[in-house]
Amino acid sequence: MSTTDLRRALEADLSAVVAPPGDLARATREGRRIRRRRRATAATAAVVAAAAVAVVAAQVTGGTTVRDPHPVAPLGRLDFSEGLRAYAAPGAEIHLGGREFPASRTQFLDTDATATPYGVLFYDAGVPRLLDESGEVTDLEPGADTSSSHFTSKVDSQGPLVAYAVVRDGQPAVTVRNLATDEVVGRRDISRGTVIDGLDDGVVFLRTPDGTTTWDSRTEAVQELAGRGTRVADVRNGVILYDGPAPDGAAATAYRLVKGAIDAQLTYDGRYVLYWSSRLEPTAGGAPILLDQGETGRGPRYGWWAVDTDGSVLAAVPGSGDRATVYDCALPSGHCTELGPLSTLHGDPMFIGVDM
Amino acid sequence: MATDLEFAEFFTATWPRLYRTALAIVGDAAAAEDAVQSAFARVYASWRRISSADHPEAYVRRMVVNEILSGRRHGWGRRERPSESVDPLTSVDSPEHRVVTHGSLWPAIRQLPVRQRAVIVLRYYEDLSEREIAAVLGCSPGTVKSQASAALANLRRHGALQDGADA
Repeated sequence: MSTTDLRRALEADLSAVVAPPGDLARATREGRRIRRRRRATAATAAVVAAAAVAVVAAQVTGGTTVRDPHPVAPLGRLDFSEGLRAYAAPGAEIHLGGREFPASRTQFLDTDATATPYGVLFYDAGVPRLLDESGEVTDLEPGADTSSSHFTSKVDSQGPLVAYAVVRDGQPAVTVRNLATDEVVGRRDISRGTVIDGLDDGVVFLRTPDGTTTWDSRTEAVQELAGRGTRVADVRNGVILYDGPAPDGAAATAYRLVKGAIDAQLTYDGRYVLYWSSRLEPTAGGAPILLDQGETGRGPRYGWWAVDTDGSVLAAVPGSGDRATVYDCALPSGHCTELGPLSTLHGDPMFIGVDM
Repeated sequence: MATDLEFAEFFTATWPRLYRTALAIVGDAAAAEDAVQSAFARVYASWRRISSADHPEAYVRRMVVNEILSGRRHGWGRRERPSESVDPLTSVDSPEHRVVTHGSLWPAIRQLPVRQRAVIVLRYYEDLSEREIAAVLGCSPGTVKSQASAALANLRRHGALQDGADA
């Protein structure tokens, strides 16, 4: 038998195998369970807040609102000097600012958390709060409606800004806050269902069912960016990563447009696209960046990646069995520093607030 | 929901071939079914991402193979089978899983280490290139080449291939 015969034999033999019917219901059922585990882990981010939340909530609101029935002890000092390095193993542990906390300490929080260089912004009953480097939780919008479910926020890679939605007296509004000075840069009413898709140099990208507009929080200028079919995946340093039809509104002329997947991310300088691989493709020509850990092939690979709050790339590289190893990879060198192992036994690793 | 319908269509269309690939690598019908089923659960959990890939089936094939190689659920991928206990693919009891034998081919394939088996199946059944196989297995094309060479040598040694057969 030659290899040609081998090819024919394999094809003939395996074609003769009658595959048993797959169990679609089981696949979707177990898939939903995996999703739920991921969400539960994301809640971890809130661990974060767990303790502080209830305590701070009481302090900030004069004790009128108790949001966390299971307060946790304050987390203590965290170190964000090399990015938040916020990641978690579902059902096991969460890592944040160089420290590790058991998942059992997490009470809630949700997948709407946003990692910023100044801490994790999360929503507690509709009120945005910030877990900062001191390990304390600050209420960013005292007096906001606590029954709101209008959770959407983004962080600016070009300055100490964060944009978030909040509801006051029934009216949703987007707020841009300078986290370095704790001052409100701008505030604008929005319609319910508006989603913040990006924040770049103070310009907020707002999506409604009718399309996407930009709002410059410093000048109050509002411009059309794209129609309803376009989705802004990320905006960094004047580069828009989009899916669907190319943005053709007036605002688009101020940006460099790069087509990509909706779950891809731009590096902070806008020069590379991170998309489920340790190979970062350039947005304007040139060579890709290859991280020295993880698979560097084109297209989605097996592993997990995210751009951290200091602009580096976090990579969780699957190993043997149910273990992955997490790395923090510098750009543009691609050199990776090992942060430690992470269990994948109960689900995929999560990057808190920066997940793709 | 539209995405669920898309997933269902994808599941139905790709299940049979992925099952056969898994069966050829793992050599056990139940283990193959379990590996593909497990991979599809993970596919569903990340369907939005996977469905946006240029070749979703390639992505899922990779997940199936990794399920087997990592022994993620039952450790089947890493089991070492002494040659005496190796059951050729033809020994699967259920008639619907029975395959036609070609002399010593399947017994010889079943005696290969699991990664060599995967390389042979991906190369000669899935018709993937060395680069594509490297992407599936998470190794370099050079490693695929050496694994393929070792696998073919083993098949020759067991009489399943002729000496000097082209690669």
